[in-house]
Amino acid sequence: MKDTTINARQTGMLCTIMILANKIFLLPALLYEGAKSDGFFIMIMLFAIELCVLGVFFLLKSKYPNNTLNFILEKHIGKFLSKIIYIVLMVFFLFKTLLAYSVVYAYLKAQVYQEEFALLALICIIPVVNHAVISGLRVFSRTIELYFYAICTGIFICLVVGLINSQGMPFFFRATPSEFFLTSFKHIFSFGDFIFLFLIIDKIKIEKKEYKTVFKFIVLGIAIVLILFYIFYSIYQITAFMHNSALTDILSVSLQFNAVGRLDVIAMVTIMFLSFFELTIFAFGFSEGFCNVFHKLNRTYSVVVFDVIFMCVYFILVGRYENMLLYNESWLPYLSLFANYLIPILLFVIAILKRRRN
Amino acid sequence: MKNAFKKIKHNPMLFVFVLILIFFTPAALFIPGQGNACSVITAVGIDKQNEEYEISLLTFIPTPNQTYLETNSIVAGKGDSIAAALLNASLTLGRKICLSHAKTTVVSTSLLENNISQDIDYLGRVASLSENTILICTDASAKEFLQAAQSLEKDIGLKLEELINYNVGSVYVTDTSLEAFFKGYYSQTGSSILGYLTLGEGSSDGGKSGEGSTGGDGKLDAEDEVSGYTSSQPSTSSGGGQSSGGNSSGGSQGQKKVLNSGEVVLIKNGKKVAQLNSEELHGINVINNKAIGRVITVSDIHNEKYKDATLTYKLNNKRVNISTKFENGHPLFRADVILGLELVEGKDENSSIKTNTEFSDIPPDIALKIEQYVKKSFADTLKILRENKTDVIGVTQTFEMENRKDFRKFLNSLDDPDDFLNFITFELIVRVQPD
Repeated sequence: MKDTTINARQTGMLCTIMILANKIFLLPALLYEGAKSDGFFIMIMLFAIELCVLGVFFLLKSKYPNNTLNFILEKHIGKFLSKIIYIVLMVFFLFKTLLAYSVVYAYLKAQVYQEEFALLALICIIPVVNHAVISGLRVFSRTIELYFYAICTGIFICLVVGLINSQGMPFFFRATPSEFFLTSFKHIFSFGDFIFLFLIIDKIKIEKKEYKTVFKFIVLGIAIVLILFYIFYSIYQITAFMHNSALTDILSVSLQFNAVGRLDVIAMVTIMFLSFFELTIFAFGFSEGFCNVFHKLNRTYSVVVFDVIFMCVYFILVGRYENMLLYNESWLPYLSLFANYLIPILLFVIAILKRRRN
Repeated sequence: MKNAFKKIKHNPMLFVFVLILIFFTPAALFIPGQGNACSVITAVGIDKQNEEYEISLLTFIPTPNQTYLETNSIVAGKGDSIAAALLNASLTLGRKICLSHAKTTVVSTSLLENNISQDIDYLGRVASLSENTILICTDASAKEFLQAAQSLEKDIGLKLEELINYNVGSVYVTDTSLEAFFKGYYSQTGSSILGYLTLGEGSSDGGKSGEGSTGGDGKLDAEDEVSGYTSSQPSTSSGGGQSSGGNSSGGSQGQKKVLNSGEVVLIKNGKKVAQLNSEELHGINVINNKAIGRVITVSDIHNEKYKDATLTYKLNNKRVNISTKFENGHPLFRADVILGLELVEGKDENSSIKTNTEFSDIPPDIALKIEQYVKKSFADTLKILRENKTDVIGVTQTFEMENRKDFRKFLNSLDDPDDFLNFITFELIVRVQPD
């Protein structure tokens, strides 16, 4: 039988990519708009919650080392509720893919292809994502392993140049508590990526002593995001809300680097690779949910269904990335509440029950 | 063949790859080169007359030639909005406008009579224009300015972009980019600073004049209230003081030339409120630790060592420590400035300056004169900033960082919080030491 499992290192790299997903382009500007530079603290707060979710994952993994999530859920809450949870997760990952795609499409359209290139983007991205999802978790995790350090190098170059351009400390503590918490709530859909780990809980082969390896990559991801936020707010201060791609914009602000040429090409290439992996992870999340809801259908069906729904929703409902951002701040946070927090709480209770029984 | 099909069947990605090749290769082959379809814009000029915008574009058209000369031309377009004017300019050019290489945006001062942020809104939104594009203003129309800049390059080989970069790095020593303008505009005080270049009549000799003079001729100047010193930037292209020397371009009589005298304009809420000459700009830069390279000449020196000597010092390094505090509810802004000066030139009647030993020493009386001069320079500029309620020296920023609560309380206690500079006590401590 084909080995579909991934090791601790690959899990860690997946986590880093998930942490970076939807957070290093547009989110800094959106958070600034709502909570000024205190968006930095929103990130710290939401990351702290994410780490708690990760703790729940490790706890559940230690109690059910080889079982699927479907098995765990069906055993404790029954088939029907289990399927409901999977359907919610499918919707969650579908919209995560849509958000990631919309943001990267808008970015590439503004920076590289000013002409309409929706078809070109779809043809270039969707088949590759489909192929990665059909090939399975192990295959695309190994692909991530290949490109991981190239992506990190690209991001580090951006951060170093940004650090040189930075202008002291950002102005913190300017948002009111209501602004702070309302903005946090509005953007929780950009978080909750660790729920993906629960979906692939049976495919992760990890010993207790290897948790440290995963944790190292998670710390790396969180550090990158926080440093980026800090540098971005430090450079742009009160005009941060005007800049839609943090990673690129921290490169292009300096006059001295402008003389070198358009350095933002480094950010562009990094963003392209990163976006591909993000989209693959989210599409795989949808596919995993689909396969668990419809046991008799295989992964190829899930990919076809994903493509059809993705295109229909994108062209009919979303259309422009501004619409996606509107959903992101209006009803998607409620979906996130369920997916990001309620499901982990439920799984935490299940893990505690299991421990008591033991 | 059969094997090839089998291979494709087992690797669906190959099929996708072949499909992409089939669909896009023919189309890609017939796409004209981007150089033919796009015009590279290196500078943008904006004028406004009777609610109509005129956009002038300094355009570089890539043409193969055997020299290193670039073919530049000015293309203009008019319209009700900047976007419409750009589209019309594009029609004139017969090419798409590509702003990715636009490093300079020029606006005429007439535009600054109203809130300019409305006029340059397009530039803030267009993603292809880099944030670090330098925004400058000119006394003439932006179109004329770009024409003069074009001849500047033709006559003396100096690109506008290089001149502006020099000014930003060595004369203004402050960020005057589009981004910096918006930062200032959206700040609490709505203040920003823009570079100012003028146009003057050309002379028959053309070329480089480089006669930048400082306060006249750069010697001791009786005009100074605190007698005995004057200062200038170490530049062939920009003269300090009141007069404008600097680069000239234009070969024939009557042709306009770009004059660079290191001037800037103060902007408040998008409108021009004052114009600062280079001397006043030095006042702003007293507490800017990046602003070095300035030359200070001290004359009429009579002491044990010198008799009627004139000494010129160059500012080689500077350390600035800024702190703020509240004393009995009153805000105090304190700047401790340490100037590292090097004696670079000395003249005296008795020829007492013979060796290099004096060059490492600054006698107390000279140090005092320099201190007084720097303090006066700062005080003069501060007066202008107070009059125009503009904070371009980062007072708000420092108070916000260090004493936010007290500062907000203080602002709320004022009838006109915009006038807060008048209620802050400034303390400038200047220490001069040999470098």
